[in-house]
Amino acid sequence: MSARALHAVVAAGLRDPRLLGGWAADPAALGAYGSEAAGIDLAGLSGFAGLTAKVRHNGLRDDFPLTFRLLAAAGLEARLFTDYLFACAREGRAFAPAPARRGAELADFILAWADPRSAAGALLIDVVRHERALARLRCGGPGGGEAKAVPRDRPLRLADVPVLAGEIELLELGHDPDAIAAELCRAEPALGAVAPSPALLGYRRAPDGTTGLLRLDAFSFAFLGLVDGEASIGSIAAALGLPPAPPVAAAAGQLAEAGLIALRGTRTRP
Amino acid sequence: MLSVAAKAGETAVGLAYSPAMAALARRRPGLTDYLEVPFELLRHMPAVAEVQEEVPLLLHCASLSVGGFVAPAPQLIDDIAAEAERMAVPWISEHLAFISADPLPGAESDEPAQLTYTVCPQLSEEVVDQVARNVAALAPKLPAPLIVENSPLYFEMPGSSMNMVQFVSRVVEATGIGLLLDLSHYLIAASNTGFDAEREFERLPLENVVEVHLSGQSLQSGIHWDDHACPASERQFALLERLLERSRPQAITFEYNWNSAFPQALVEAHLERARAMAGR
Repeated sequence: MSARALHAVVAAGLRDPRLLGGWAADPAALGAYGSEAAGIDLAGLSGFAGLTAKVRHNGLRDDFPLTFRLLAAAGLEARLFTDYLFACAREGRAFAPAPARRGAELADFILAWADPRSAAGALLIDVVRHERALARLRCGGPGGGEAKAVPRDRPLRLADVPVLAGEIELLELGHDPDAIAAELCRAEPALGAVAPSPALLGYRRAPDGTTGLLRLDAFSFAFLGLVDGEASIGSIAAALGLPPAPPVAAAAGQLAEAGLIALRGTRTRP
Repeated sequence: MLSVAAKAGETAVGLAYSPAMAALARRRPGLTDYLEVPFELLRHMPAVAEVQEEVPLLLHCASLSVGGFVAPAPQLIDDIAAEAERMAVPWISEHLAFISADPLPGAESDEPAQLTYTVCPQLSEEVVDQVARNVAALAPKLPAPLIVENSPLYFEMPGSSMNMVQFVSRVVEATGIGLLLDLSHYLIAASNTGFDAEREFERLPLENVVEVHLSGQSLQSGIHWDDHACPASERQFALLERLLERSRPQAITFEYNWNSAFPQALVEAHLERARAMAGR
């Protein structure tokens, strides 16, 4: 078999990972191209194809720095990108040209691919969710929400119907992203050393477009998750298993004071 | 426009282009002697060349398929030549690899298969002969000398009859071509195919080395990989030291271009270290 013919087989496999998958399942099909083709290291060739996929995602490192550092520290980059390449090929899907879309699709894949039972997998799921939410914040314009601010001339009442002031994505993570980042900054990260530490986070875009990461207490996290512009403070309290009493309204008032919720129909004060 | 004009016998020290490294070079005039830019990037983003108003550029290519059997399109060669001429580069570097190949027998299209990444060819006399033909065909069309870069080897190519050191040596012997010695690629090939990198190093045609590349490596799934998001290892610096005892390359390039957050302090330290090693 000539080198020229061998190069053709290798190139065809790299161009279309479905061929690599087919050859792995049926080595005789590979041998049909020539005796030396049968000797191609399909695992090595697949890994190389994965490397090329990884390089094509280097532009996402700014939006997903912890994700890439964690993948490298855990030795998962090669396997992840090889599996991702093959998955995209099976679906007949090319990598999205727009970085935001490409990042979102990779994040979706990782969340389905990572094994939450392993220490690295559990951390990976948390950092991807965290960085995906931050990336979404960076991409958007001004936050929505029909109300701009809460009137401060009276306390909130249980019958009031709150709406979100701006937009907020709520995530409950199993590990604190700051703790993961601190470990990944070490020369030789010990991923098992990052202890589980549930974090309740809000990724918020205010009506004026400013963004921020909020660390929330359990009440605020649960309350904000139920604000839909339809439910009153009293019914939200009931949904949370709390008595519809003035303290709930007062706690909601603190969220209003922080500018996180407003009342339907209210307007920003000049 | 600035061009790389190292003093006779002096080694320039530079960085592979990335937006972050270009920004660093602009912020810190004199930090890097040059930026090395891929032709393929310039082709799609011509504005990148504007950095040459402030920092000299070298031209690095990945499209000529010097290690392959499918000739590059004449227009592509003309475009590379024009770019090299405009940039007034002292040489044009290209991977000792292929990036296009024939279609498989029976394929729907009879167009060559174009890849997005260069692939190490079969290491054989047949390919050495083909490289010699390719170089002979390309050289007269280019306005600066062509030099070739050793490839990383991630898997054994069936039919190979020599290791990477022998292959590179045979190519230099057959063509007299200059070498871009990528020390990361060299160590990757040694680790993945099982030759002793330190012992074999002296057998490389070191006197033909025009430029050196240093970058990081990672070990994943049992294979050593090129990784421009990681720093060069002490092992690479040790090989660089040995190279400098034997020859005087004209340029040493750090390829830290995959991660915009690559630590600036490390970039600066490595540039200074290479300058000191080269006697500057």
